[in-house]
Amino acid sequence: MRGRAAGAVARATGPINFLGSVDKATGVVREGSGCGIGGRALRDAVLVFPHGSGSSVGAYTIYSLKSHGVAPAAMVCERADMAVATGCAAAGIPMVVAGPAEYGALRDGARAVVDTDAGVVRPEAGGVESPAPGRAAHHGAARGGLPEDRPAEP
Amino acid sequence: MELSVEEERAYRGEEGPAEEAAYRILVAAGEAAGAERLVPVEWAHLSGVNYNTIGEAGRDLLAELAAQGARARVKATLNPMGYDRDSVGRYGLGGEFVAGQEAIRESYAAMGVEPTFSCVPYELFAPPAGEAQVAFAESNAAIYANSLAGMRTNREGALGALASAITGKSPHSELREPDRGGAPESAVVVDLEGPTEVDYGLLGLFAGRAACGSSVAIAGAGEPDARCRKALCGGMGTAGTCARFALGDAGGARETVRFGREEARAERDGLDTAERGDVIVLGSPQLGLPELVGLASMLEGRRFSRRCMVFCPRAAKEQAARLGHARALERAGCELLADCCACLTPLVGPGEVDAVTTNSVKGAYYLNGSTGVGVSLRPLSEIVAAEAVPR
Repeated sequence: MRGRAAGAVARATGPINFLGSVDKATGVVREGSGCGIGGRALRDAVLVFPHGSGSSVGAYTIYSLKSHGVAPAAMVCERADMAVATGCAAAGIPMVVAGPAEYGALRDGARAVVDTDAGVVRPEAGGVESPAPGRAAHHGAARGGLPEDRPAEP
Repeated sequence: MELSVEEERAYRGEEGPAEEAAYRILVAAGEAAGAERLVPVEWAHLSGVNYNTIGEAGRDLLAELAAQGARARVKATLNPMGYDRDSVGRYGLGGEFVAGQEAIRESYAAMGVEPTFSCVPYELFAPPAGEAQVAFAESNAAIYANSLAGMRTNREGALGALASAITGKSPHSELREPDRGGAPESAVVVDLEGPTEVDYGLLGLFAGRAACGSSVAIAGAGEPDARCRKALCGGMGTAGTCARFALGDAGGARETVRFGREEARAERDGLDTAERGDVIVLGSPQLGLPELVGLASMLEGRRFSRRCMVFCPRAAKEQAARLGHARALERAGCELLADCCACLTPLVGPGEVDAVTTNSVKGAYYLNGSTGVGVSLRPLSEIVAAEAVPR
């Protein structure tokens, strides 16, 4: 999913099965889910994790997070999986697959910028104004989650 | 991504908002996965049906798509929902849950999706001829389709499979190639005496996590029967992103890991969290007719000393009733539940029970994790020996 966002990095150490590991109404990661960020709230974060795993229904979990206003501002993965990619697409959450150097440079708790059109995923430099978290989903849908604006090219 | 003229037109909204939304999901997912194009599919199997898992946001999205004119363009089938309508009245589910679930059912009906409510679509319909391209969400079904049923699918996301039903397309990937991306990079060598269905489930979980690509080779696993094959697919679906296994030898793999008694025990330790369940739960994936017949015969002359819930497709429940197996199972203390599944049904929850006994690794994973009840994980033969008394 294309888009631009900034936020504090929530860096998971393991894959996330969104169905079962993330509360769809609160955006809090369940303790003991094995991804290393149990108990954390994902709202407005740049969620950095290797990849989604397990249930295909994780796509709806991600969509629900957006509907409840508790979604991450962006997601950065090491590799793509269809549950996360389609969930982010429907929810309008920018999502990128980062190279090893970019992925490794994102530190837990530090702020980061994701801009898929400019091909940028990096720690945020000091003094740079970050866009409001709500603006991140500029390809997504404010109402009901269905697309409203249209990107120029696929 | 390269789109055809027709795809491009639909992507731009010229075929209406539902097609536009569906194409945008497919293109975004395809871009993330590095797909160069979309391919036609003959069958989409949709997950995201249970109100427990998709909630009001999912319900509203489906209602909006249905109202916008979304229709299944290819054969489309559905995963389990939250309950069996025949017996839901006995469970005291809240009215809000039932209303939410019925709204979801109606949206899918309006879209022309077959109301199969089953996580084992491969037991309900024959695969289309000739290594057909399909789009299966439901992780166990995608893995089964690729590994055992001669079909080709990505391990689709729920919303991707829905988009595939509406458009008849899915992102291309190596899994869709004739050689499926070549020999798997990772292999698991099984070293177990007399593996049970629980061992196969644990093997699936282990191999799915060990796989570094979209496929994994599994050597030394013998010739698993139907129950063990389903357990393997279900276990693999709960972890990782692996979409296919190849039973046989480990030839060509770069990495080989062993799966012996110790590895099985380590996997089991995380899931086997209770001494004994208050209720026995069978059917994740749902049991087919042959498994129902087998269960009835194991229980002949005996009766479970505690409640036993058996989850199966409606077609299997109806056939079992016609053939007398359902009556035999009921006499043995089993309740047959169609249209839903052991994972994530509100019929099994912390309010009702503290712990369940099951032979399903997939069930154990979700019951422990999301439902929040303890699990005693053992093979069916042990469950019957321990819990069924002479009648």
